[in-house]
Amino acid sequence: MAIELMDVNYTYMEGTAFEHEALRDVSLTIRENEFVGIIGHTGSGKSTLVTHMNGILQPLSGKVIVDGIDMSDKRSRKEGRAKVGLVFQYPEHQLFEETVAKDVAFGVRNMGLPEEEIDERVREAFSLVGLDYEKFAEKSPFELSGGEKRRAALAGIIAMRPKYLVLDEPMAGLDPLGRKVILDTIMKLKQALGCAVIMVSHSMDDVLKASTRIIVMNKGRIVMDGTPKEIFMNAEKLLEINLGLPQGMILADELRKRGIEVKKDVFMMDELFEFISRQLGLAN
Amino acid sequence: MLKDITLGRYFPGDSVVHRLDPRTKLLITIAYMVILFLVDELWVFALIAVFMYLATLAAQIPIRYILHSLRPLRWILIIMFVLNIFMIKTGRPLVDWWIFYITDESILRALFIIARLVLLIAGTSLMTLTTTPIALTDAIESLMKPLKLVKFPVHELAMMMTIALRFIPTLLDETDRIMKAQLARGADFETGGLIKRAKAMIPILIPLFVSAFKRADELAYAMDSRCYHGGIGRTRMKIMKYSRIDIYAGLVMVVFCVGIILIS
Amino acid sequence: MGIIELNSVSYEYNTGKETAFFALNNVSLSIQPGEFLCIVGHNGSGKSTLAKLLNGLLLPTSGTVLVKGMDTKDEKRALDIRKTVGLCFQNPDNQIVTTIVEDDVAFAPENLGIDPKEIRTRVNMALKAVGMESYATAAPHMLSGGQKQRVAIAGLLAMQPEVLVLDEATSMLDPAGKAEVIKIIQRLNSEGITIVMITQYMEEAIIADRVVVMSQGSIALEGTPKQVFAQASALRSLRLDVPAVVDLRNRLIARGMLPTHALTAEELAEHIAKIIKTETGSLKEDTLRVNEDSASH
Repeated sequence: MAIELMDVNYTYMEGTAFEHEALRDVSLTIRENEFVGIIGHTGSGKSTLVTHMNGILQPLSGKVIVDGIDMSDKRSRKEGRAKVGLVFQYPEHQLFEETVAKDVAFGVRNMGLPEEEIDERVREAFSLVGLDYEKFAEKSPFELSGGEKRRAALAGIIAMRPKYLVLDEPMAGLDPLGRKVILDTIMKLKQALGCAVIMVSHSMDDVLKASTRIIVMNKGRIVMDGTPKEIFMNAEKLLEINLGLPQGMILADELRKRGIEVKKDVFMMDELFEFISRQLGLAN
Repeated sequence: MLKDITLGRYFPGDSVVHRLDPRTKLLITIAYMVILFLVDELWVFALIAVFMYLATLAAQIPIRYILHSLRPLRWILIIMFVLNIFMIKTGRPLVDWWIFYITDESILRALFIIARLVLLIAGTSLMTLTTTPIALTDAIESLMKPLKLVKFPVHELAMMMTIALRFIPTLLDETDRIMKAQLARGADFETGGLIKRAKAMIPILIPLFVSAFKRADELAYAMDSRCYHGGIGRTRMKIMKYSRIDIYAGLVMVVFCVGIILIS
Repeated sequence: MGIIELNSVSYEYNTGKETAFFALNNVSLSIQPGEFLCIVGHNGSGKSTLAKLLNGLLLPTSGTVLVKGMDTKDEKRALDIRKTVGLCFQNPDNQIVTTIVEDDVAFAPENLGIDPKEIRTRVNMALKAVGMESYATAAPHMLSGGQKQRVAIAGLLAMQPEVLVLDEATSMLDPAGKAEVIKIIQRLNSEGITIVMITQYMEEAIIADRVVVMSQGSIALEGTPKQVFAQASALRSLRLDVPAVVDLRNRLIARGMLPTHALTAEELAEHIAKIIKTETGSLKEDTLRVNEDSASH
């Protein structure tokens, strides 16, 4: 079972002066249990790509299949959409109910489940994203802090128990601690729910930390697709399209410039820590 | 989705029409609209259509952009046409069967209405495609200046229009984003009766208002920071000046209007 | 005397109501002409309130804010103060007023009643300073976040300010947009404009002359980037993080590496290379010279 995109093309405002090609011949298979990081510049097509995954945008040509369901078919689309939980950028901007609990329940309620199950799932979602149900359930979502709002919005999608959790820049605009908490929560969610995670991010370091597979987009195309090691072993290609490198890579590069032999596949901070410690003969 | 709306969007260019003073364009458009409502003969409409076509050529705007601006209104046009055919009962009957009673006059009237609307939209589209919204606001402010004498807040009105124009695309994008986000949570905007659909708008409208108020708040701070303190003592970088082409364009329009009135 | 002086400034929101709270508590700070000051703090530390106090958008509940000797409470000087201290906000979308780039840049000088010809000169110069001259007639909503923020900065430069305050002006931008904006403000600073950059991200403070760390409405730490970054555990307790390289540096020092104040990958690599080469006895003259600074610590 998988999300499959086959030769997907998409253009915004086709036929007007503002035509903009967002996706070009994108083919991609995302399997269960993967953690896929998607990186690329603003306007490289990342957000358009993830919006295709649950059928909210329909490709101009090509196909999107979710667990065998063709998302171009209006009747079965709903079933496919329920499998793919899509968390947009700044998801706290979509909160609207009087209480946090009601807002988290919005998606589940639209699935037409019985009340007891809705309640059970909402409580579970609260605890999965680390919000105290007793403390927050009856509050207005507009009273929450930025990080809490973000977690509440995430809970609304989690409660729908998606098989594929798709997140568009889930850490954007948060302070450093907030970023860390959300990324850790996402990694924990993957464990707890056993779902696949597809995460769009600008932060090389975050993508490197969490992903089992990385996709690099440029100008509406997929230009690289592989394990983190495979992607970062080809650093030249990333620099070619002007994407930054993770901090560890920059350091490894600086060490190499100064004649220290750092293997090409050593660039995670922990690996560098061990490597430098050995070089300097530091005790464990 | 909502991003596909092109009505009121500027098409950059450097044609004669683009270079006309916005006040000239605004006055010509108003004269053109008046003329449209004065005539009621099909061949005169045809003449006006030719004039429109020539103006579009002069503006170097592809005809399909003008047609594109008609698209969102196609259902309204069709409904207007059908309603007129059935509502008007005078004239020589052509069809009289069951509930259908159609006369020659009703068909003619319906055609007039459609011709008028299509030409009206085409004309105003040509103006907005060749004039930046801000130039248009400036033109309105300048033409309304005499109203200042009766304490009418001309500057404030123009500033409000400017800000509205500036934020329409931003808020449309925002609406689009919120709609998608609620769709992802299983919201359904397309099925059900009127009340159900109206209720379905709540998840869009509340976040939209919250965001619009936040934006308004921040914009007010930003404007204060940039020394905005109303229209008093304010200067403008771009001073509107009538030039020779404005005189020519004005003359062409006068000749055209007089001609149309005389022959019809 | 500083170009901006804050003397025991406090600011209270919702005064008199149940929800009243102090966003700033007795803050004193002197900003020197020409310096690059970075104010760092987590969400809700009071740094945005501080930004709005610097040009009189907010007035202190107690204490005074002086801009070139002018009290922000003096209403008659409001315009003089605002054109001296340009304030750039977080969301570029919400500070652009008009539908054409150059018209927006002209907004402030128009408000100041400047002669149209002079406005044109200023607008052209400001757009050039941020590298947006080829977008003069573009529509702001078609630009990228970084480009919009550069337009917003141009709109402030057109006032010919002496101080530029950036209130989290890069936090909504992608890495490329961030880099563009940082490069521009560094250049502006080298041309003599005082920069006050407010941010949540410690790594952005590396380039500053001085760093002020805010917490709960007060100044918690203050010093050069090297001095402030040396206090990693204090920063963490203030909900701030040290950059990955500094974190690695600290772990290595904890394991027994020769101490260093290196902040960037380049400086750390230089330090490590130097130790290795000293040990292997192949230390070269030139590396020695470059490393005098880190060796002295």
